[in-house]
Amino acid sequence: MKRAEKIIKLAVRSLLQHKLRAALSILGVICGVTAVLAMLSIGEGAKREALSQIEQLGTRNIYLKAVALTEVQEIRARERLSRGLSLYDRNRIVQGCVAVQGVACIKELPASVIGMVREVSPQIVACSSNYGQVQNISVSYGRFIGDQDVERKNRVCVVGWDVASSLGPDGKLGSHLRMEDNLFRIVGVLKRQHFKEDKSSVVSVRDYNQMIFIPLGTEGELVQGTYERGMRSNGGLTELVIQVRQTEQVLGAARVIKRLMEVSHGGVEDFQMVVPQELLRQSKKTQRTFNVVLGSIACISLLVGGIGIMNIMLATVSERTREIGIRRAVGAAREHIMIQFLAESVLLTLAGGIVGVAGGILGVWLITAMAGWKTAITIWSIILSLLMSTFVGIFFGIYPAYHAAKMDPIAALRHE
Amino acid sequence: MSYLIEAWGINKEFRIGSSLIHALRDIDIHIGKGQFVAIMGPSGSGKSTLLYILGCLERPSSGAYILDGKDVFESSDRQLSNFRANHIGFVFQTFNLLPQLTVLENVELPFLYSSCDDHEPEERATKAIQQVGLTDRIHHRPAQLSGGEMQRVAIARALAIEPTLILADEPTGNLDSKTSEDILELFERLHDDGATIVMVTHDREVASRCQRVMTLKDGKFIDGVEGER
Repeated sequence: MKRAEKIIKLAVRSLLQHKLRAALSILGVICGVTAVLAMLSIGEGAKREALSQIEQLGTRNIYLKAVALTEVQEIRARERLSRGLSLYDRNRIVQGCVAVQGVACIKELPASVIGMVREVSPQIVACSSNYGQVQNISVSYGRFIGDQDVERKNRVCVVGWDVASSLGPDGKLGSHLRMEDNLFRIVGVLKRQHFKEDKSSVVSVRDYNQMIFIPLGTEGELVQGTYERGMRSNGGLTELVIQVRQTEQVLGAARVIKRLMEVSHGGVEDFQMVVPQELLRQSKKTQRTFNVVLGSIACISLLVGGIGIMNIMLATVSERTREIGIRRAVGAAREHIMIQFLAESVLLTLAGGIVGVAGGILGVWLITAMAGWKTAITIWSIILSLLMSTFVGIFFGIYPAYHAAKMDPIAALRHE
Repeated sequence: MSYLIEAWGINKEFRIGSSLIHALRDIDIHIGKGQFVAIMGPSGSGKSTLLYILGCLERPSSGAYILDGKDVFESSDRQLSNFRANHIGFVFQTFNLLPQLTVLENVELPFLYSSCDDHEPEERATKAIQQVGLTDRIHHRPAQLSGGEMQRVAIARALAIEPTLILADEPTGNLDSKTSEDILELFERLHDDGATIVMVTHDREVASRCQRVMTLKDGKFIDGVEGER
């Protein structure tokens, strides 16, 4: 509407009469909005990071990891007949907890491939046939390790993308890979996985690109040559991945499994349980503390900024008493005067909001560049920041505008 | 024939501290359409107060006022303001232009509050500025104008809305005699074109240019009440 446009134009004109004053009065709002945007962006970045990590780990999964024991602990473990993570644990979990759909297990092997280029040092792991399905690993050529492979102890392997490409023609399906003194036939090549190494995370996600999978059970022959090294890990699995039927059952299942494990391991803490869902909760909790701190800073500066706006608007109103009288004389109703001054205060804070958003974007960029935190600026955070600055303009502009509107027109006209 | 302005028993009291001041006492006033009326009186006689009441800018303490067939004081602030915006043009002694706006924008100001089509204001404002002979100053700021020119802008602002009633509060009070003459001529021309004008002044010479002179003293009319129609 043209009239609204005119009101805004007049408000801008009035504000531009005192540029420095206007600029100074919105500093508080700028700081507040910058803080709000920074908070939202850092929070969003952290949330996305945690979510992507947890998604990679699987929200329905529970991880049991073998923990390396010190010598003293190892002696105690033997005394209590704990054998570390084993297939026996897997069976107990499958039988003992109804919510469990399947348990996959892997065992990291200290073996190496003969004839690899230097840059790639693949990690060889023996895994159960359901590992691929539980971990959502997709195959680009061929197939993953199957039930038959495990049962018959087939000497086959599935290689990651980087391994296959570094092997060149030897990395094709059907060719043989020499690991220690054994030949394994390649039956599958994994799809390339987008892997970003992140040291700050609690649980590391495996880099499948650099892995070679062999059927669980065939590793016995593989570690023979390196018996000394193999001793320690022999028998013990590295990791159990438990898949629960439904997402809601995860936390309950985790408690049951923990109890089962404690009983079967005689209380020895030779395993570590990681529940991605719990990580999510934890990261949310940390995030909340952070939000409370930054949020209160934002609130305080918006409050201070708002009071500054109110102060300036009150000064403006009393300075322009005469103008109010003139406007009333030529036909402005109280609402018109109110709207006029509200428009000015909202324009002020909105300008502060826009500058604040720009400052926030710059600040977030700096944080990412200097501290290396993950951040994400969403369109919603920008809209929210602008809405908040508008709200500050309305909230703190209402009293001065009301003060202006209720002035007696005659007194205002006579005001010098 | 009916009057444009009809008011009976207008009283206005102000309370300053503990004392009550009667600015107007039982004023009756009737002004016909197309009249050019002067209200005279010494300062403090309540003539400005009467003008503001006639202009719907202030409500009397008691009394009835019918302007163009409408009972004014039955209306809300919103309706009164709307009435001012559409029907009443004020001209003040101190011009009362907004310094941050140009001549054109000042003249357009009433349209911001009146019920007028969106594209009309500029046309009508331009026409009014032309009427007062300031077309070449249309984009100037008030500070760049002389006193006489500023008063002409103020008159243009009053004219632009094609008002039912023009109210002037000492329009020549801040001007030298030469420019006063110009302004008075302008008012006379408007009167000839059929405008109804009520002018407050304490200058006998200025008042003598009007059709009818009413004299106010201590809040009461002492002369000129029984004008024609």
